[in-house]
Amino acid sequence: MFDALAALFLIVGVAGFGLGAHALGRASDVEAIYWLVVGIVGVRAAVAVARPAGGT
Amino acid sequence: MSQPAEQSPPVDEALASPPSKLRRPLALISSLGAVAQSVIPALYAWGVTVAPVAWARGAGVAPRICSVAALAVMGAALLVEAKRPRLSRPLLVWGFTACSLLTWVLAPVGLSVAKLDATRGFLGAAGWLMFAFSAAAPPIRRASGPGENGRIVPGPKLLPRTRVARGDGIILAAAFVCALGLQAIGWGVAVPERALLLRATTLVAGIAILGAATDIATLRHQVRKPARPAVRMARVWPSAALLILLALAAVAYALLRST
Repeated sequence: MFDALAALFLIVGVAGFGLGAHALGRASDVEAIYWLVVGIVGVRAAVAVARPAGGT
Repeated sequence: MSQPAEQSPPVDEALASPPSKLRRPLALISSLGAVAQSVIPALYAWGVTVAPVAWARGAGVAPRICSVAALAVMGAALLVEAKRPRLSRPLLVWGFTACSLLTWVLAPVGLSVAKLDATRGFLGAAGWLMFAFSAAAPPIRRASGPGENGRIVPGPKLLPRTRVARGDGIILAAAFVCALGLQAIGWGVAVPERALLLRATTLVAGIAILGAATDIATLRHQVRKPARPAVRMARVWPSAALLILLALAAVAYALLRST
C-alpha cells in the first residue's frame, strides 16, 4: 500500500514539475511557482512515505 | 537491507550462462592491435568532421590532399604496427591529427558558425573524444591466464552481488522517461533568459525525480527497522497536508476568477 502511495505522490510531483515547466514557458510565473511547489512537495512526500523507518 | 538470498544468482548458474551477444564483437576487437583499435574511432571522426570540410564546395585542392593524407597516415600506422609498434601509435596520433588540423586550417569556411551543424558538431566532438580515449588507453587484450578462459577482462568472472528487482527497474525506467519528457518542454521559447531558466528548471526537476525514484526503489528493500503504518503516515502527513492546501488554494483562486 505504501509503495502505491509513494508512486502516487511521485506522479503528483512529476505532473507538478511538468505543468510548472509548461507555465514557465508561457511566462506565467505565479502559476509556474505554484506547480513547481506542488512538484517539490509531491516528490518529497513520495520519498517520505517510501522510507520504512527513521534511519537506515 | 537487501535480500541476498532471493536476489543473488547461484554462482554455478552464472558461470554456466551462455556467452552474451556482446562478447563476439568485443573478442573481434581484442584480436586487433592497439592502433587498429584506435583506427575505428579515428575513421568515424574523419568521416564526420574532416571529410565534409575538405570535400565541401569551393574548398580547394589543398584541403582534399590533406584529408586523403590523414587517411594515408592512418593506413601507414596500421601497416607498420606489426613490425614497428613503438612508431605506429605516434604516427597515428600525431600524423592523423596534424593532417586533420591542416585540412581545417586550409578550408576554414567549412568550420564557420554559419555552416556548422550543431548535431554534426556534437557527433564529431564525440568521435574525437573516442579517438583520444582509445589512443591513450591500453589496448583491449583477451586474458590468457589460468582459469581466465579467454575473457576480455582479466581475472575471475565478476558476479553481481544482487539482481535488480523487477519493480525497481520499472520505477527507474518510468522516472527516466519522465525526466527525459521534461526536457521536451519549452524549446519554442523566444526570450533567451527565460529559455535558459526553463532549461535549468527542467534539469533540476529531472534530477529531483530521478533521485526520488532511486530513493523509493532502494528504500523498498530496507526492512531493517520497519516502522508502524501510523508512524509512516505521521511522517507523510505534513507533505500531504501541504498538497491538499495547495489544491484548495487553486480551487479557491479558480472560483474567485470565475465570479
